[in-house]
Amino acid sequence: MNMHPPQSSDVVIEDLSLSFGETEVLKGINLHIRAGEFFSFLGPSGSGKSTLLRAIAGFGPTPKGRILIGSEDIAKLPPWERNVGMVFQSYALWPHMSVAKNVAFGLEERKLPRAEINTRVMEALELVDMAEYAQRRPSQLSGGQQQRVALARTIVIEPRVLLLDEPLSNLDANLRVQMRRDILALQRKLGLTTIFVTHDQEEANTTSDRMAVLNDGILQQVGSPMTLYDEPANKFVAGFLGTANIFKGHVETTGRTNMFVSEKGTKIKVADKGKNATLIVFRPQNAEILPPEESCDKDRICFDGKVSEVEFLGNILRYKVESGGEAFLVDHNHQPGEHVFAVSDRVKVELNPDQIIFLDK
Amino acid sequence: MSVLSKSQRGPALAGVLIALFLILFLVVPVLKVIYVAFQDANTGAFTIINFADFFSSSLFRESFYNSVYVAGMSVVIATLIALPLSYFTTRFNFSGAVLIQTLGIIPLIMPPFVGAVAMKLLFGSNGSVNLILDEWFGINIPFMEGLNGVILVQSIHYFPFILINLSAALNNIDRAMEESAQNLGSHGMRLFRKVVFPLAMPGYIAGAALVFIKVFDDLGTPLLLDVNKMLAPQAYLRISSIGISDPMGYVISVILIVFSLLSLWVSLAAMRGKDYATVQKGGGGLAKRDLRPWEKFGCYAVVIFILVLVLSPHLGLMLLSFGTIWSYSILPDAYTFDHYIKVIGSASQYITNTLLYAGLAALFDVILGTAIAYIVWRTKLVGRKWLDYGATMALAVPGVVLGIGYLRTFYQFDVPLVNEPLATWWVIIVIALTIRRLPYALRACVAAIQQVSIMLEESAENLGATKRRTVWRIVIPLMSGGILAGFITSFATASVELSATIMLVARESDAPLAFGIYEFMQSAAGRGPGAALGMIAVVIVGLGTYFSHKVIERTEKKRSAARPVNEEA
Repeated sequence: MNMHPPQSSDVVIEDLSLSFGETEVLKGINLHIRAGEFFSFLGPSGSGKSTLLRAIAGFGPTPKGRILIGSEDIAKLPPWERNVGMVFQSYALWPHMSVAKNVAFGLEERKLPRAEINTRVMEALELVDMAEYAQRRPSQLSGGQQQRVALARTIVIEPRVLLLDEPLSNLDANLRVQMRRDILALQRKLGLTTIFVTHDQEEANTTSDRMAVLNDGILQQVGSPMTLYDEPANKFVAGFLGTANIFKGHVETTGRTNMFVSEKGTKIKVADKGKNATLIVFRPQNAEILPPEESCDKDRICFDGKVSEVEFLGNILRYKVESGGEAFLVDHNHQPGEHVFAVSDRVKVELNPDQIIFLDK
Repeated sequence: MSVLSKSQRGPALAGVLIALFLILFLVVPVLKVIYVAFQDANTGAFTIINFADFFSSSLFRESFYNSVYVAGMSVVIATLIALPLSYFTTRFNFSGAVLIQTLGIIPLIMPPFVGAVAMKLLFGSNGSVNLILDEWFGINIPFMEGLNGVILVQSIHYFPFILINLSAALNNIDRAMEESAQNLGSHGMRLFRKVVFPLAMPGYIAGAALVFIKVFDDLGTPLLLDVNKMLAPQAYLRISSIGISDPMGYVISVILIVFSLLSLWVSLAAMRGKDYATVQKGGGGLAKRDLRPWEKFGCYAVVIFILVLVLSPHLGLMLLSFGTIWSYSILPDAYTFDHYIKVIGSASQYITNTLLYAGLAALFDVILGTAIAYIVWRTKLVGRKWLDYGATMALAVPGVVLGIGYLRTFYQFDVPLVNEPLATWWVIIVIALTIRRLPYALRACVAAIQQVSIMLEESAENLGATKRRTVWRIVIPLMSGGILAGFITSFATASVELSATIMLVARESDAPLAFGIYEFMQSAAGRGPGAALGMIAVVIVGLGTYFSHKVIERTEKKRSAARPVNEEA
């Protein structure tokens, strides 16, 4: 499994479990985050992603298992001996200290000479474009500025790993996009191994080299954003990343033909690779909606159905189509002036069989 | 200038009446005191000679230093008591937290002067504790000698102010504040000193300033402990023995006012702009950890030690009230109900007077408080904020000063039909209590009206109710819990007020409980009955406190059930 030999700031999590009293919140997590990687933990609230991040920083109950940075197991170290920098969701800037004092704090704790502290504080503030605010109090800054200071305060100690706990959730929408670009640029510049916790898949997709999807304390899948989207390992990942039409059922093989029969009775011919599928998944944009009189291409899968809902989302029209007991979504790129199907219109839906994802869990 | 609209006439009239009342019974007497302090006693001309006289007298200089020293040391001792308690509750999952909360209330249900004599019998040089110490170790610790006694009694009484403020401040610190410091390499005492304590500092200072000024102004405790070389007792003794024309009482009053204003300013400045309440949604306080068994033992030991100390005035008072003779012995010789029988038989006028005065004062307080709260928060009358400021200003006026001010201002004002000066009529005591307790009742009423959603009033008006009908049918019923709590608090604290009343009691038959206790405690033979009266006072205040807590609890429960949906978020 481990194709990359561990580097000094690789983060390796081995068989990590953690409980709050009786409740198990992390169940046997195994992960290898490579040095210099921008890595995201993605999952719904309560999935354990923040708990996992906090466990790496040393907060919360002591977990079972190992957390290695390079070859050092840090799982039993107190937070202040780990040298992993964490940016908190609330920024947690100390209101009784100026911006410069906040940033200097970690260096003072490391007992560096005053002159070096001053230089490094200013360097860090310049890096986040906040040098001119050095003497302000946190309460005099906007949310975005506080975020930058929190970032500077963390990177100034040159941590082995940078941990970001939903750092964008307190910013408004426009600023969020700008900030995530800035964070990524900064990470690339410093080459800092970064772990980013978010529940927002767009944030994770746009920033991450790789990401881990968590649900219910269990690691679901690890991979690049595109791999996870195109090749989800299970129903949860398929449904959590983007929109998915999921049919439950089983495959009946007669001779050389594999026929997927959904619980509602819809039959779909599937290729050999789908022989063991209990779920088939396709994305709304992979299907095409056509007038009912259109003839169906032979190597394509076709459904006759009826429109039951239409949603206009701007760039696309999203139709809900009912067909043989199943209901699924079909997207159509919106072009001005084009024909729009109405509710109860009869339609034909075409699907390229190559774009079907087969799952067995 | 347009004439007031019809709906504003009622509030405007009420506002003017309240303003007149405050001017007449708060502003004028205080200004009179200040004026006299700067007046030549013979010629009436403006002078600062009185202040020069004050500071050239060694007695007054000593009194001044003593007052500052006692107030300062009381803050130190109170901090030593409060600090571990607030630390335990905010840092640990400590099962004794309920005990600590109780500790924060018990001292306040007994005015410090009531327990002062009992404390002397417990901790004095011939008191129980020193008798035991002497027997076991051959030592004698001067807990109660001179100023020490005042400091001990005051800090035991007033430490809850620091405890409450400091605990609240610590509880308001977001856990991420602490965690981010740990993440950057800080821990232990350094973390506490550099991050946690500075964040809790404003709350601590607010509490400490309050303790300082309460002790600085207090008259009853030093008087009962026979410590006269302090400012408030000096002011009282000058006025009561030399007369109301002696300028020194006024000079001392000015000094008391200046210090009051100063500490109020310090406590406000400490909180202003530095309200470090940093808890985010769902954040919740500093990380708490479980105690190891020996730590739990240590915590309990400290808490129980403080509990015993805090309960000792109550305990001592109880022993004194049931004891026959208690002198040069660890416990009284025998026990009896005689003191209570004597007190209820011959001194019942103290109790009835107290119920009358405190009841009337509390009633006026909530009427004034409700009216001011309504005018300030629900009308647009010009200058409405000044009603609030004016009523709150009473906080900065020590009881002694108010008493002296009333004597001086109203001595020549004869009340029609009664044919006696207002300054010696019993009603003046009620007025003094009303003014003294108004700031507290007002805060309760303001809190109550702020919790009444304005939408509830608007919907009543929308359905056709006039302003006046809305106030009667919607606002006041919804405020009733807060008003009742304000009434009980005012009543309970007014019933044991001594510093203003002691100056205004003109004859024995008009005297309230607190004065009666003071009178009894003057003689060794009167201590038993005095203690019995004290116990009665404690029961009255204790019941009052208990019921006001109950009322607040109940209304909060009711409110959370009836709160409009959009306020939930």
